[in-house]
Amino acid sequence: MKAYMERIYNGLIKENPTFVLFLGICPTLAVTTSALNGVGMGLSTMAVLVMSNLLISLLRKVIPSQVRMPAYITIIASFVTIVHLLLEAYVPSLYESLGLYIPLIVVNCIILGRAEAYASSHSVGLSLFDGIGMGLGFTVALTCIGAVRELLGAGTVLGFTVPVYEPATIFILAPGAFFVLAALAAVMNRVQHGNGRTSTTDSCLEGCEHCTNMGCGGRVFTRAAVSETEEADVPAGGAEEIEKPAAAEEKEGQE
Amino acid sequence: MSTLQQLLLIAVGSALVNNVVLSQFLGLCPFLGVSKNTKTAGGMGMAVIFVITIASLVTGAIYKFFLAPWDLTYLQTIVFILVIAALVQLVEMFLKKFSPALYRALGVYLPLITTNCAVLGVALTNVQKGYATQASFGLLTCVVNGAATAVGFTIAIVIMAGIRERIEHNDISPSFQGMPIVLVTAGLMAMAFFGFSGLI
Amino acid sequence: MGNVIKSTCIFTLITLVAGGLLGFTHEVTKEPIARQEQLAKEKALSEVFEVASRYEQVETDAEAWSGAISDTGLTEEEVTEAYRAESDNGNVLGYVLSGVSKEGYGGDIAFVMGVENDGTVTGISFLSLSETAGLGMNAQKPEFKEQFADKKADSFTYTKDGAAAENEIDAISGATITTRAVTNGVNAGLAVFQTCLKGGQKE
Repeated sequence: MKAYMERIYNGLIKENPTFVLFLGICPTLAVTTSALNGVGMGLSTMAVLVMSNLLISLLRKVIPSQVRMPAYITIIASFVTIVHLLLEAYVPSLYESLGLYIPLIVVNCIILGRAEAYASSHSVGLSLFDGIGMGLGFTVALTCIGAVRELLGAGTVLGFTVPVYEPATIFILAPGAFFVLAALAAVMNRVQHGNGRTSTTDSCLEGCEHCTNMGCGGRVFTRAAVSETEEADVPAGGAEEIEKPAAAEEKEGQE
Repeated sequence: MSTLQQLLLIAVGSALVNNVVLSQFLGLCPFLGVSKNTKTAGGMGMAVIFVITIASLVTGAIYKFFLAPWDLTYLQTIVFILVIAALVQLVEMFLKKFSPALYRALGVYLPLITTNCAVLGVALTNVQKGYATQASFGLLTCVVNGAATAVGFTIAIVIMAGIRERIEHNDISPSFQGMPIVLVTAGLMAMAFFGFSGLI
Repeated sequence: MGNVIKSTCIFTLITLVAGGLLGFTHEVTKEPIARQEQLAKEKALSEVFEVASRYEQVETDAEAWSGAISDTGLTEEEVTEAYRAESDNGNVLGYVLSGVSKEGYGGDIAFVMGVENDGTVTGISFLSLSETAGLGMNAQKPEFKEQFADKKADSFTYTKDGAAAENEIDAISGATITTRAVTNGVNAGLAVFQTCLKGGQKE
């Protein structure tokens, strides 16, 4: 039980996909024009993440490693389409406001990343809870950003107008998304490393590169490289993020 | 409006006004990750132009000739992503064999593109805006839209890399070093790109 | 080699199962999706023509309608459906037209508009609108939509410096393209009404 709870804590706080790992930035910025949109996107992603983690973990011994990536992509894309159809049928208002970004859940680095880095090598139960934890972490992050942007940019909280305050539309628009995330990232920097000069942020960026690496058809990441990163996964914090891309680059160099 | 005029309008709209990175937030991962110097940024941009243009044509054709007539449009997401993944592999293999020079220039970036959401994003936008099913010049419109979007991506990432090369030597407040300052830069660029909306 | 065949088989199997699952979901959700669209449409109909109690669909005469629209110089607009708005006792009060404007900034704009028999616009509403949040999306706000309501005009124009005349619409700030798309859409609807449906001639 403790291990399961640990997965939730890990996803919510320690390896929060948005604030710590900087994964899946595209939907994070695109749909967070209101808190409600953030919740909707977060929960949709979580549903896909949980289901794909579950299925990939179940099939982890069946799927041959050469066709691992296409198989994962197929599984994820199927769940995304199912969520897409269900939203269209039963929650049309959310479907309207998320629009193009629902099918784009497929290319959200978090999902493929977790499938590759966790579900493909852990038990069904743990993978399930990993999906829930990561999904919750993503949902919370999106909701926070959405709430901030909604408050500053539209002067509303969950749709209710805040009196007196004159909203600055820029926060609802594209630049505002970047500014809000920049401010939050700066706060994270400050919290994690105090005043000292650091290079954490480099690891964040490479975290991104690394996440794109993961999806590249399974050639860049061989089985061996994955197990290496798995070991590096255990000690937490920013350090592992530096090791992963290093492994990836090595492989790339060899090709 | 003549077809040419319309295509030009779409091209300007996709490349500058509705810039894929700065206003639609697609392809942010490479935009933030591979923009440390202008040379690699340019290489990435070229690879993206190459892949998106081909992908637009192929996905547009698949939609028009297979999915739409057989009422299978609900399969678009899964079909598109698999086609794009396969296409990237094919392009890579093809380049390796027939154009080693081009492969050396773009090869490193190609694998990174499969999960670049801009590629899938463009394919889906082509369908959503009805370019793919348009009666005349449908596929041409898809290709123009795709290529223009990718050019927009390249413009954005090269400018970003140029700015980051300068930022490197500046004294930035510790909390804002790295990611935050890059995001602030992106925000300012997004504001600047708003100016283009006067073009249409 | 055997390995390759095995991999291929397993992958094919996964794809087939996925395809089957999607087909099933599609079948299950097809009806609710259609119903949602219907509901949204009904809601929009009653929103733009509140006083009517029944809406009877008028047969679509695509050729005549698109002719009427292109006569006014509009090319990107289309009126797809029209409904007779009737009162309790069957009197025709006016028409509700449903159309699409393809000039939107973020894609097609599907809208409905109500017109009384004398040509007064009763209101407009959107079925689908995917404009920029914070700019074009403001078209959904009552402040913009109400500008069309209760106005009698042959066609509308938009202006950036404060509407003065009856048929002038204040452009949404920062979203001239959206404003133009909507205004042209309404004009296309009016053209169809004036030339093809006017005054309930076509009973």
